[in-house]
Amino acid sequence: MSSKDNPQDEELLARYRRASDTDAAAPSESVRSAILAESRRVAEQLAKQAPQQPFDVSRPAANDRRWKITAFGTAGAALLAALLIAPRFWESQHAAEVSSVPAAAPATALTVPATAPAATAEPTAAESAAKTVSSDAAAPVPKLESVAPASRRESLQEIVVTQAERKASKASAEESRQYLPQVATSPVPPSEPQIATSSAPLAASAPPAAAPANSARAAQSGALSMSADRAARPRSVPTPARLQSAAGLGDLTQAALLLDQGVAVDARDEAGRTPLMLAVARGRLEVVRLLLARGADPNAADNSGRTPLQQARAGNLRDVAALLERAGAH
Amino acid sequence: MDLSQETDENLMMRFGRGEAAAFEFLYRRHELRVFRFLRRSVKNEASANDLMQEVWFAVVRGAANYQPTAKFTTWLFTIAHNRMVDMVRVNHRLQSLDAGDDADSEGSSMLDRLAVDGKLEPLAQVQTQDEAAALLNAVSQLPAEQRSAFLLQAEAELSVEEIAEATGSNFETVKSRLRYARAKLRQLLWEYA
Repeated sequence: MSSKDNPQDEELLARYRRASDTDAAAPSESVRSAILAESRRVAEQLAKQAPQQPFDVSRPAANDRRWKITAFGTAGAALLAALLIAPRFWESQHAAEVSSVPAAAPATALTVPATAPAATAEPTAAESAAKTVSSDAAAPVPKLESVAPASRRESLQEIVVTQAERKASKASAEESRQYLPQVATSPVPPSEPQIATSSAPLAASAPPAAAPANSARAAQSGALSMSADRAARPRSVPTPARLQSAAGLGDLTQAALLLDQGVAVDARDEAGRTPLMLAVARGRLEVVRLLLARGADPNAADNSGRTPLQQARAGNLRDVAALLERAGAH
Repeated sequence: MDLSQETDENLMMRFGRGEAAAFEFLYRRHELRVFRFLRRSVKNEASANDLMQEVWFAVVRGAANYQPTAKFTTWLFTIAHNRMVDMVRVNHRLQSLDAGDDADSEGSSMLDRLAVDGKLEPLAQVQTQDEAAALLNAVSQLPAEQRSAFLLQAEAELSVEEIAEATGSNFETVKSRLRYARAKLRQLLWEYA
């Protein structure tokens, strides 16, 4: 109910206002003077401030003195995010590059210096362990018998991993990437698991004849996986393409890890090339040794009928050729 | 530049840009209404003058940040009401403001007591004054919150909603206070007549 709805209320208000107008009450002159003086003082200040706004108020953020804090904070956060994401992105891109390289890898890939140190073999605790089980292993494993060194001294030389060869392997990784062949998406036989989260499922799903060998591989590769930095990456998916890439790049640790995770040792690309062929083509002696120890077929030929031994001889890779011959290549 | 045609809000905005004349015009327009509201609220000339200065100083110093989101008079009398309440609380010159709600709830009984309550202005005393003085005197007899609500309506010409905003009260509460205040005033004036 408002007063306007009631005539009596309106009349009351009107009477009050008439009465109020008759009241002579007013603020004292001193108060009035003080108020007006204050208003003039403030008006002067406001008049000075008005034209002194040097910045465009429509863009307050750009004129905020603290913009640097915001800008550098944002840049820092972006950099941190990039550092966290980049390794994963690089891995996936790396695999994609491997699969996108033309199948016809140039023969110049074989121009790795023939003086590659033969005695600087990769660390293969894996190999030595595989050697111990070679006698009871099935199909792929017997080839290891021919890999066994003729003497204890030669065996030790082959097992030793030198830091120099690791560095050489990394240095040539970038160069070799452009020569890597295109890898088939799924060259793995149905009987072999492409992805395995641990060695135990791999051993369970492997053919019965290869089961002892696989179990031995899982056991002997444990130390190797533990010592490898890349082994700690939980989200990398083991694929034949990655094994192809690791073989071409000479990345022994990654190749061993992928084999442990169940990638087929003889997975072929579209040109029919196995990881062994790619390792031979780039002169990756240590990877060749690992693949042979893991049961790679030294006589597997690509679609053009070319074998690893032929590749090694064509590239004048004597050490590789000798290793292949000891593994039964002909 | 005819300032008399400008609204209160425009005058305040112009003062915010440094026009002292705009404020002087605005002050003259509302000077008496604000002072009467304060004087009849605190019932003391000196206190009213002190409050008058405080209120207008607050208006002057708030000009730089003034935004015309509401009527200028609502903002002005909100300041005046708040300053008045602060002073009343400090000086304890009025009864507790919280008693006003109780008065609202029992307004009829208070109205009945009005004629016989010895604390209120005796009818005989009112009859010695003229009608205007009697009315103003009657206003001063209202409970504090009813008086504030009535003065904000009669002097500041605020609506019920604006009074509720200025006093920080509920809309229905303000309506109730106004209803009881008018009833008491009519009763006094009827007795005077």
